[in-house]
Amino acid sequence: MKSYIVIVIPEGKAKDANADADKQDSGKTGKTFTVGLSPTGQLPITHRWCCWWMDKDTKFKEIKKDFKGKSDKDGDKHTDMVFDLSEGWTPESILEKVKLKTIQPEL
Amino acid sequence: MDRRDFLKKTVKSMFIFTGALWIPKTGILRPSIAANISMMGGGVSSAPWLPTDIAGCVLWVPSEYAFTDAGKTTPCGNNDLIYTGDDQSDGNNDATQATESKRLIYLTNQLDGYPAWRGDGVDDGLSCDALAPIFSGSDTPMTVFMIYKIITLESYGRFWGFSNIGVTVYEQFRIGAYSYNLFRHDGVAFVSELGTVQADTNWHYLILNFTGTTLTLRIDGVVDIDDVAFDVGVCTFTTFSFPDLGYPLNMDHAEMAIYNSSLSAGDMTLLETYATTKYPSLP
Repeated sequence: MKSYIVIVIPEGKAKDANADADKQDSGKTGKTFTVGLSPTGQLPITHRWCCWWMDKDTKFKEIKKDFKGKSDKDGDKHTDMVFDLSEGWTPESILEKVKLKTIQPEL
Repeated sequence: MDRRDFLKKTVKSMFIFTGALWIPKTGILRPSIAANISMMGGGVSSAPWLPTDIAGCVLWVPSEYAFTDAGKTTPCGNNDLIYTGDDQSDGNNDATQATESKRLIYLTNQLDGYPAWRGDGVDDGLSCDALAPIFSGSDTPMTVFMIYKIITLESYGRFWGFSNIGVTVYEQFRIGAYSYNLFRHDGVAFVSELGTVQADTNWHYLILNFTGTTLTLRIDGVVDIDDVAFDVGVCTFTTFSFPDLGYPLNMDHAEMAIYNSSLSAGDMTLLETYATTKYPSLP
């Protein structure tokens, strides 16, 4: 079964998070986390997020090993947040939960 | 079976009758030719009328032409991620996305039996940067034709965007779902225009026609922004994506075509007729 998985990471972990995402990304572009977030919706960027359509029984299990930071044996590997939209989350409700906003355009 | 029945069966197997025209898989018959074809046995075959029949088409991606790989060896099936949108303009301006999380989803049977490409509104978009430079300059005409459905209303996401990422003074030409806001910026001057507020999540089609100095936006065949002045200085675009990767939009996409010219009223009517004939559900 496939679902949208949303992952939010702190800006400081972006490089490591992109490297870990590439373990599961066939494109291996290092560009999984490029969309910025912040508490005010204005610069500077404090977090980044991605929304990834993936199989929950295979790829998602592997992704969680690296992105469920607090349950990882290394502790807060990315201090990240992982959400499964098939469980009722929406991008809007996730942003409300984590108290972040997308960087707003000029208009 | 007599000749008349044979031809009738043959035509039926190759085309769909819409009540006005027989439609091949993609496209419609040229109206001038179709008018001369006897539906019941004329036996005249004709190339379908397609958006590429208008001069200056540099990109045409109907949703049927999606692949899961860069080499275009595996056509997308339902729920597959789209790596490549295969440009049918012959300009080889394929739209691609290498990063998995940013790929659109291919969904079958979304509009009159045709598939759609869905962007999640978070980070999805197909890139076609090769197209960006052709709109650089100060008075460079362009036209965009799109068949789409917005899923999340009141979003700042944008259908598409030409931009120059990485420069201190940004340059953009974008259209967004939020009141169909259009703006162009060359780092010095900034112009914008607001159209009708998007109020539903139904399928629509639009034509944005930019003469280089004025702008017209037609939605569902009706003029929404009528030839307004829309001009700034020299812009240098380096990226083009849809939905705009800078401000992604939660939307479905059925077709997009881009022209490196301003279209005549007659050409715009042909495009609109093409849209409503291929997709009878459109308004």
